[in-house]
Amino acid sequence: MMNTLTPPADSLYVLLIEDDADTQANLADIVDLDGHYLKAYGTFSQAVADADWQAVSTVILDWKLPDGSASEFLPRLHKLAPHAPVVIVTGFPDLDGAIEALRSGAYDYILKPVNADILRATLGRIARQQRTEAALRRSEQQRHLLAEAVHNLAEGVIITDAQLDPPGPHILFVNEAVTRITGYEAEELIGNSPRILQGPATDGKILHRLKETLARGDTFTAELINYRKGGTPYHVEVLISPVRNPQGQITHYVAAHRDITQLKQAQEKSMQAARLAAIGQMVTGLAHESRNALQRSQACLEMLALELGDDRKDLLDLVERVQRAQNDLHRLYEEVRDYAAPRLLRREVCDIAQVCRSTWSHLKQLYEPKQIRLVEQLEASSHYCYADAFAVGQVIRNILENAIAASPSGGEIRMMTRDATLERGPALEIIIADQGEGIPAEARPRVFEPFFTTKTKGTGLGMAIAKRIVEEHGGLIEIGDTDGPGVAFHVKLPREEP
Amino acid sequence: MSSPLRIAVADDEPELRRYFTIVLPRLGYEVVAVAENGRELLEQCLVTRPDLIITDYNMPEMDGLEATREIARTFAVAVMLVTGYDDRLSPKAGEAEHVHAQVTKPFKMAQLAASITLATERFADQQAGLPVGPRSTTFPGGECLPREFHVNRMAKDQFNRT
Repeated sequence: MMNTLTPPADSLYVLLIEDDADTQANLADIVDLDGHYLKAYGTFSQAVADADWQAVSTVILDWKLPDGSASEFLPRLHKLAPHAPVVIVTGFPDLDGAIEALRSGAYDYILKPVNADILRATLGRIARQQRTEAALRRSEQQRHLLAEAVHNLAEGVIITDAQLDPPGPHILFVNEAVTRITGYEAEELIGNSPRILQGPATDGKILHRLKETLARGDTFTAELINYRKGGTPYHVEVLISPVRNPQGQITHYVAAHRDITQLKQAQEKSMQAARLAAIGQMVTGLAHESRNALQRSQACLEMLALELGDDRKDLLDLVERVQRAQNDLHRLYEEVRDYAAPRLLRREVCDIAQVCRSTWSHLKQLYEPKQIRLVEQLEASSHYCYADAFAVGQVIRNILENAIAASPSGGEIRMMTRDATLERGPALEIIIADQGEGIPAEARPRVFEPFFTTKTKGTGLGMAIAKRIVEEHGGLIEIGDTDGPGVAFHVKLPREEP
Repeated sequence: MSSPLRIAVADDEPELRRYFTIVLPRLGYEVVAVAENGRELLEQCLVTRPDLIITDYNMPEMDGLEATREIARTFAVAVMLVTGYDDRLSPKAGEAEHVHAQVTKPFKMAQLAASITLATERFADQQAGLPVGPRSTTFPGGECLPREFHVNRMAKDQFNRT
């Protein structure tokens, strides 16, 4: 007999409850033949008190025991060791009872005198069955673990069949992340081809390479532009590997999708910043050099005008035209530089209402001929901001210049202020609304792009500069509607130091 | 009534030197020295003792800032600095104690006249021990704005509605 509590694999911990000593000894010998471990008790109550019920893998139960019958004990056994099958040992006269026991959940019965082969076969069957069940349980646990892990991966996982040609491959599985990335529900994707995610900007050459690589049985990796449900493009890094059956045939493909849109945007932003910095340096140099040249030209023009005197009006007219062209050129240089050059903000506590008024008063030459009035509605609790007043003045000036240019003669421009908030704290909002013809909705997002203009005059840099200055302050500039047809520019400036 | 303001000018560009000699007399000033660089300016000023110096900042041999600093050690004089730099990007030159006005190229006659007035007024205030008024700056596109436009530390604001 084995004397260890942990039976070797495939052997059973057999609990024998049998009051007849001969039968007990006989059964012990048979059980021992196959290396099963046996623990024997003479009564049910002894077994209940003493046995290690957790470890018991099979119970052999005598039909008639001194302290009761198997039919009474069966339900209790099911409670004590639900996982252990019960084999009833019974004499022929009790066969009916044994069959009834089978109905109430016994695994099998064996007639006395016990035939060794039959008992061994029964125990062998139980051992195999328990091994299979354990394996199933383990595999179920593992399947559950894998499914949970795949489901909760931050990366999207798509499993398709192996049919590369249309209408395949068919999506068989998507995890949670795929629905999050693509905006499709799993049910919308399953059965479809991953082509549902592709669109006009998806690189056809990459897709071609993808198919070739997969057809060869290799792993494919690339960056693609895919489309979410509703058509928004996103950048995705895909890694697709073939899945083979034990015979080595490809049965599925598994694809990992990583949404790298934000990463791409960050990269583009930093590249854009680097490009702007390089352009900025160049333009600063250019503007500086141009100032010297412009100054020489300016000096010569003024000397020429003085030489010509009032009696050569025809020539003075030409001088005047050259002067205007030079002014335009100068302004263009300065604005390009303003837009592209690094700006050193000199921030201090300043009164934005004062800046707005002062800026308006300096635009007299523009608003007076058109008889445009400024209507103030200053409703903010305070007009102090931590800002570069000169730069903010430039923002207000650029907006006002556009507003004046857009306004009809005799019109009014409204300048409003109110308290607002930005993500990082309290802000002052300045709204400048005109009564012009407005800007069509489709053109509005482009208003802040450099060299966008709806006017015949101007460089088209004014609003791009304004946006840059406002954003360098950590603020926000937007374009909105008014009560009438005109537009309203909203500038939000943070009140505090960042 | 009084004798005209005596001005020394310095610029390494011949066009600008010629310009000053033609334009300044028309504005009612007398040009007493014309220099091509800082060293010449220094030498000539020690002899002519002008009331105002209009000098380019960037010049060979000795720059305008250094030359006028030397001159200001010898005698009190109003100084106006002409620069190609934007004072928003390189503020240091124009903020020197002995510089009373700064004008950024390209400037026009009207700005020149305004800056001369500003320089002499600030110089006079400085000499009299009075608080010196704000500097000036030029806006891209032309007009001359008082610096107070962008430096405003007023404690109370009449428009503040708190």
